[in-house]
Amino acid sequence: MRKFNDIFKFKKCERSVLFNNLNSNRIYVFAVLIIVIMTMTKPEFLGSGNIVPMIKTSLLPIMVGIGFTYVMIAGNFDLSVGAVINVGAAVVMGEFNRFFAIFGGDAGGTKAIVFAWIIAFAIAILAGIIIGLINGLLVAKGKVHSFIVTIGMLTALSGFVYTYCKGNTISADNSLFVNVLEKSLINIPYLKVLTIRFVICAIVLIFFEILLLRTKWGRSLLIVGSNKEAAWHSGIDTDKKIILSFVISASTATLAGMLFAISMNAAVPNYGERGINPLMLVLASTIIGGTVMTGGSGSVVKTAVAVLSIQAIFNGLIMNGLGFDVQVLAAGILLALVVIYESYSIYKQVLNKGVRVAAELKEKRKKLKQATTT
Amino acid sequence: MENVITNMKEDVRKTRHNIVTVYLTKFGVLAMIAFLALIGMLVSPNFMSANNLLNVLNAVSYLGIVATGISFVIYAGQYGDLSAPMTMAISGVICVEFMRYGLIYGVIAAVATGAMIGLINGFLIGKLRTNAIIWTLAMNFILEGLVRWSYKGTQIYPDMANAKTYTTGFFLPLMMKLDPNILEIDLKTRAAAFNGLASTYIFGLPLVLFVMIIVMITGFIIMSKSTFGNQLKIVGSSYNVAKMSGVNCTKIVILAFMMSSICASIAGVFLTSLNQVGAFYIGQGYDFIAVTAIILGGMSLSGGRGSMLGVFGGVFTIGLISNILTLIGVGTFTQKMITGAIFVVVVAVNASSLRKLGRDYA
Amino acid sequence: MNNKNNYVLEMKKISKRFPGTLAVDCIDFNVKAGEVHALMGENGAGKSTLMKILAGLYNDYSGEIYIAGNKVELYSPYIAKTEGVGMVYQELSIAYNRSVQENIFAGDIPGNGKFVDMKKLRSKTLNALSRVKLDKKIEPSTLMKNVSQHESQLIEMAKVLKDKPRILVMDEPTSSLSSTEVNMLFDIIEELKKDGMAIVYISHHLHEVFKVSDRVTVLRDGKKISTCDISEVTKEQLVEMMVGQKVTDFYKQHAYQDKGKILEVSNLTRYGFIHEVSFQLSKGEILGVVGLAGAGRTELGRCLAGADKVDYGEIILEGEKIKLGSMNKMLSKGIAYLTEDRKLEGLALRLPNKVNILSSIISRLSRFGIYFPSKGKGVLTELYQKLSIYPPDPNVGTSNLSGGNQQKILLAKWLSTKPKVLILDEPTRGVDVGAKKLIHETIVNLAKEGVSVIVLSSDLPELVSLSDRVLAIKQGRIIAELQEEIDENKILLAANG
Repeated sequence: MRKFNDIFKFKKCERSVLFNNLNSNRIYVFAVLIIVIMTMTKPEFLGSGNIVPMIKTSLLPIMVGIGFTYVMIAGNFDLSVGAVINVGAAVVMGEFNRFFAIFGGDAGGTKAIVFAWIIAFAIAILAGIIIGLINGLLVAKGKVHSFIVTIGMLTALSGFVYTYCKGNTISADNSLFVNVLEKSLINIPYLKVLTIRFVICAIVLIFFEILLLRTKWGRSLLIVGSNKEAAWHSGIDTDKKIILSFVISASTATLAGMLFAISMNAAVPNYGERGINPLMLVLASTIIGGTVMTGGSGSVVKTAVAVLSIQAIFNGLIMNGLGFDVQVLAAGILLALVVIYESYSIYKQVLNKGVRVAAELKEKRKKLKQATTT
Repeated sequence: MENVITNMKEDVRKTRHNIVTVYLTKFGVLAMIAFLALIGMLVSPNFMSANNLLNVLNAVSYLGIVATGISFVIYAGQYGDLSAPMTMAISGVICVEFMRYGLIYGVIAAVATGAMIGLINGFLIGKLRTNAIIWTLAMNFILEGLVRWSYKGTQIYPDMANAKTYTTGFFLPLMMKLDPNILEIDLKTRAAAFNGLASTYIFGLPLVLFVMIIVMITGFIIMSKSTFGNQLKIVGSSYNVAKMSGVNCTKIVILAFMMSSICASIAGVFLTSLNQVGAFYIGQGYDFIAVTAIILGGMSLSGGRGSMLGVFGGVFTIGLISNILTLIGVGTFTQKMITGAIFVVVVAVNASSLRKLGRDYA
Repeated sequence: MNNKNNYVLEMKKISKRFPGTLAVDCIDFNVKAGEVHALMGENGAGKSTLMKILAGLYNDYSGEIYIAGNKVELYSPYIAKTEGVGMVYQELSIAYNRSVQENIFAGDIPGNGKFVDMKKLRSKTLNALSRVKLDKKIEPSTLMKNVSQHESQLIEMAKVLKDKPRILVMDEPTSSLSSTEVNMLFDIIEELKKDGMAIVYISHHLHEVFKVSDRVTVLRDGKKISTCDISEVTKEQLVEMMVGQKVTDFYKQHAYQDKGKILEVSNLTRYGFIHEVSFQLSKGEILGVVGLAGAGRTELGRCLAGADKVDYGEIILEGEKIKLGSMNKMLSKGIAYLTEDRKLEGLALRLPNKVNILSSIISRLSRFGIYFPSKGKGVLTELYQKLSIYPPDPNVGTSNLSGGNQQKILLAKWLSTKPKVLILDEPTRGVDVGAKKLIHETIVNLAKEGVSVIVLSSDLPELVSLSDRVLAIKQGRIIAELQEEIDENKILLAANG
């Protein structure tokens, strides 16, 4: 009887430590797997001519993913990121042109270019911060669901961008900076990827990863996301944290949009509406990267690795002669599979609390039966 | 007898509400419509003419159909169905494909597709309790990929008699395998019938308007009078309570998502007919505007509260806003911006007033 | 210094108004260092509100609070914490996705400057856990979702204690603990007392109060009735103060005659929860089921009602074998289950009462897919009269009702299904005396009408006065059956195995 009692403890369904570790770091396993498969099917996959452009295209979603992950960790959604990218792109280009003209255009020389860019940058980032503040205030203080707020913001902003661009593509009147931003710092095949844009992106990424996992601020954000009430009882200013997460989201998205537009020397009002939606890419990467859908756990770097993995899949599809349309399908299916997996594991957990005990009991009964028969 | 007295002594609390706030939350949409009508009259003398108001209704009839469907999802407490745009697109495409056997088959095939999508959505969200926003977004992407992949990104014209142009697609080759005589079907008249769907007028009113009204009335009856609608109310208010009351929650959620997808399909068929082309971008943005209309109509995002009448009000409000802005001479994109801003403000005000009432937030 | 009596905490003339009610009415309350001060009262008496004021959850109270002689204004949980108030909440607030150490140090993670120092965090956590004797049992980096419930309760306490509070408030700390765990908790409380901490102990359990506390304050209807040393009062006096009326045997034991078997359960098993449970139930019988927390009492109810998956076993109702695991099927056959968690699973609080009451019979009131709520009107008025629900208007939202009336609505919801077997899980939890009496009367009347009732309860007097037969359940198995001359001691002994 005593032995039975020992087994019969009311434990939650626990998995092995190894499985838990693997599951929380699954994105790395996934990334390695993809690289192996891609290299096996197409050896040129690892060539610098392939890797470098792939990483370059990933820079935009990686940057947007930072903020998106932050917002999701804090327990909300920011569906407006797609529109914010366009705002950043359009505003930085438009304002540059305006101030460049004010400073005398090409006659103003380098000084005019530099000042115009600085002002344009400042205005665009400010716009991003304001958007984030509005989102955050409405969610945290207004207690409106983040889904609603950001949908409204999305509608308003996409209207704004079209109005701002008057429906046209905006290019910078001077492309000096564009060349600087996209120029490789080191001219060695694989290291060609080291452009200023890459460096900025890497610095921002590392900064936010450290902020999230190594600082008190980041740790308390994780707690806010996991249980807002518990955080509030511990004296954490939950509203401020949530507002800041939205500000981070909007400003990283703006920065990403700005850098992207400058590197392309074009701000398109409908970027992402006809192509692969950046929102989709970022959402998929964030969830595949292991950020918990309800908040409270996640990592910015893992999201970035997920972005790269998805881009690698896209890349591999193209190399195997499949088109852009299949990429959309693949990304959708991948996202769907991960979502189903996550939900199913939670569903199983709820359904089968204490099943571990069941397995032990069954074994015990088997042994008993064997004992009685022999 | 004694208990009754003690109870009465204890429970005289929190039963009084501020009547103004109660009525404002109940009839907020009406107030908004009245206000907009007032502005409209100031802006243009033509505003109140029957013709203009009919135009307003006509303009929002596609939205009305989609919103009716999505309102079931929101009523079920599931935030929204973001797969609606691609459901519309894929239904349009399917309808165009099957139209060659006759218009009615096309419509049936489209609606069946919609029902299938709803079934999958509902199963995952109702049974596995997946987050509705994320799942329907994923579904939207899958459908988008499917449509794009099937047609290699090209658009599909109903009257494109020359089959060679899209033999590379997915559906047509498949159908050709099933039915080798497919290319001998006379497409021209069928295509004309399909394209005419959106421009059919009955008693001087467009067919879509009638469809919207029928869909809304059906939606109203289903939501407030049917067994399903009443069980949906419980599920939307509290999933766990509904489950412990012996309500089959999975079934109810599946039905709600099927309502949404079927409505989106119907709207998609009409919209494809209006554009005279089937493509993946048909219906883009309809999910967000529909949610906007539904929330404006006073339906609560937390589920179980609101009515179809409010949804109609919300849809009408959207139409009025765009009509007035057009009358003033504001461009389409600026209109979008203003609508978005109004939406955010209204929702914020609504949420704060609800909180003052001691209810949970919108 | 004006604290002549060594009071660590003095609350003077505290009042707090909620819309339409004065929850706390001019209460004076004080605690000395090194004493356990029990705070008692029925639900809605104002004890939780008073303590929430102390914890800084309300910023609009009136009155004065002195901590160690200094006047303080507790307008946020953070201020309360820094002033030395530590509160262990009744509803645990746990960040399940985070580790034990992060939960304990949620507000102030140790580190250098703005950065986190994980080593320091770990050692500090072990230190904090040692105060609740968990340091050898739990690894600080374990995720909170992998920790059992009573451990998380102790972790919650460690979290409060690590701030070295002057005053520790415990709100129903034993509600989810088994008896050995309760004893462990009392040992910890003893130690804290020796350290000179002032402890406020909120509890419904009289024996616990007599065991740990030094003084007791009784509240009723938001007013203070009395404060006295525990040695000066008896249990009966305390109850009288709480209830406000002389306690008599206000319900009689149900006289039951055997009218034949209705339900037969055999070998019902859900792995890890209940194990090969078999029993029989007769028509019109009231069967009590007793068990400590985690013994499988609630799980038995849920499995019988089809709310949870059953691994194997049989349920035979009136000679007919029923398919297991489907709540809908059970309900249509006449087995109803009143859940223990009223707010989460019982009632949709923001719907009107009539919708809530009729929610489980929507399909029964429907014809051809159309729902006719008018058919349910007769049932509604009948139930309203039978249970004397206040306010008598079925259109009122359920959230506006008191706990007792909400419970009556919940009971009405299941009575409306006209069950043959009614399973009641904690039918009077969080309910005032009047409602409790009425619910008991209703149960007895139901049994007289021939409905079989299974009462799953941890309230011993309730079981004694209602049941014809009591089953004791422990670790998922039925370990005893009491039939005649049931009294509290016998039940308690049986439940403890």
